[in-house]
Amino acid sequence: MDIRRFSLDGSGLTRVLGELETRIMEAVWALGQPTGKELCDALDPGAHYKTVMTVANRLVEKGLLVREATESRSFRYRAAESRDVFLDRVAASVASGLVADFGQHGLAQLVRVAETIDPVYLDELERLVRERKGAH
Amino acid sequence: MAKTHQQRQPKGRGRQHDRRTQAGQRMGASRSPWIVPLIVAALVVSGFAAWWLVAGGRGASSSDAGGTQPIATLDTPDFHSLLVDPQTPEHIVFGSHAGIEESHDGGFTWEAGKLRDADAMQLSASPKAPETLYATGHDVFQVSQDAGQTWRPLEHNLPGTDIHGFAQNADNPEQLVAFVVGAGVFASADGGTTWEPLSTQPPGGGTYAILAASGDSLYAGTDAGLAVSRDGGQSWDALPSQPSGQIISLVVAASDPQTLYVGTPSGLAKSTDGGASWTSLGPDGVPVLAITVTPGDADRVFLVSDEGGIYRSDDGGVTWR
Repeated sequence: MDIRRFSLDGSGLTRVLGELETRIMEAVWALGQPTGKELCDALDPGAHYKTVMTVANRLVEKGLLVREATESRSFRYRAAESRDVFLDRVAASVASGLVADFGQHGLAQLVRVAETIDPVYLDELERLVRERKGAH
Repeated sequence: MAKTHQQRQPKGRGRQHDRRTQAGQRMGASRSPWIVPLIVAALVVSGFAAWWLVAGGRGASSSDAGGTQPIATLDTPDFHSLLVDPQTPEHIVFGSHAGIEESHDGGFTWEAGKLRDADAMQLSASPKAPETLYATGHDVFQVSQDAGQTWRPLEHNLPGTDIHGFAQNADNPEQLVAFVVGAGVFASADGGTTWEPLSTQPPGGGTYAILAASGDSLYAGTDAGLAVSRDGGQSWDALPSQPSGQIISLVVAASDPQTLYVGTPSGLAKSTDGGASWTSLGPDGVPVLAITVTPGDADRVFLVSDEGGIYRSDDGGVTWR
């Protein structure tokens, strides 16, 4: 799935996925290959089975989940990629838009935000830049 | 028999149909004369097996865990609703977010229906107005007045068209009820043109309400369980005995309003006394996303599982195939 939206108002994965989509993805990453019922049971008790199945199948259509028939006559769902790989793709998409569209402004804000959130990130940024330069 | 993903058939085509097709291709490829007697023998055996299955042979019993196989498997994005045509019991209609699929042979083979790219979460029809079918769902309120050949949007005054619950009174086809997300349950007495909110909403119906209606009884499956109203939604009573599990599908037999079927993520429950008591039925452990009862025959029941398996019972749910 291409990352097509990024919400400034959300947090975590809800910046790129719906609220229930995020909860389902997190549950599948945690459970491995749950059936629909196991997935529904892992969410809060108020989650309606049909709603969960509808959204899970939408994630299948988006390519984030894969559903497979089983001998238990109930689909099992698994993530198409690991959580780390998905987060990498989200970050790459956001960084690409930031730098391509805003150039120096984007880079400057990236450095400022890194320092503001945790100065350790600034050191990490410096290390990554040196490592990248050393590779060329 | 284990089912694999590779066995799943193209969209809307039943597996049994394709088995026949593949068998025909294999026969056509045989050329050696000595093989003819073997083919004849195989045809006799397979013909007897097909007759036994179609003309009254029993499927595995509900207690035969893992043995019962669906009569067809649909390959749609999701699986939401089933309906038996009141005029033609072999005509079965299935609804998903992609539209409807139809079977004209009692559920064995399927093809794309006439309503496409529309969310058919609920389907309904009444034996008293058998040509009229309703399809409702997210941004969908469609009606067909020729048993599904053509569809058109229905003009209405509901506060929204995100309809996640819908039922038609089998005895009075003009009486409809609809659960609109965020707005509650509404009733219409004129076939869906004008609507009024129920004076009392079903208990626990804040997020969803699965509805069924027959005679003077209106049933609602919600977070709080199954409740019934005998006065058109002015008051509600929780049923004294509840089916086990979250209610995800619900139907009342048109020919016997005391017979109810409830689908849950773990299986099927049946009541023959208006919901006073319940019996768990097979096929074992199959999530029942949609269920329908043949209008003229309360014993012929169809359900769809969460992987698109169409199961059929001709004895009120005791045995399935």
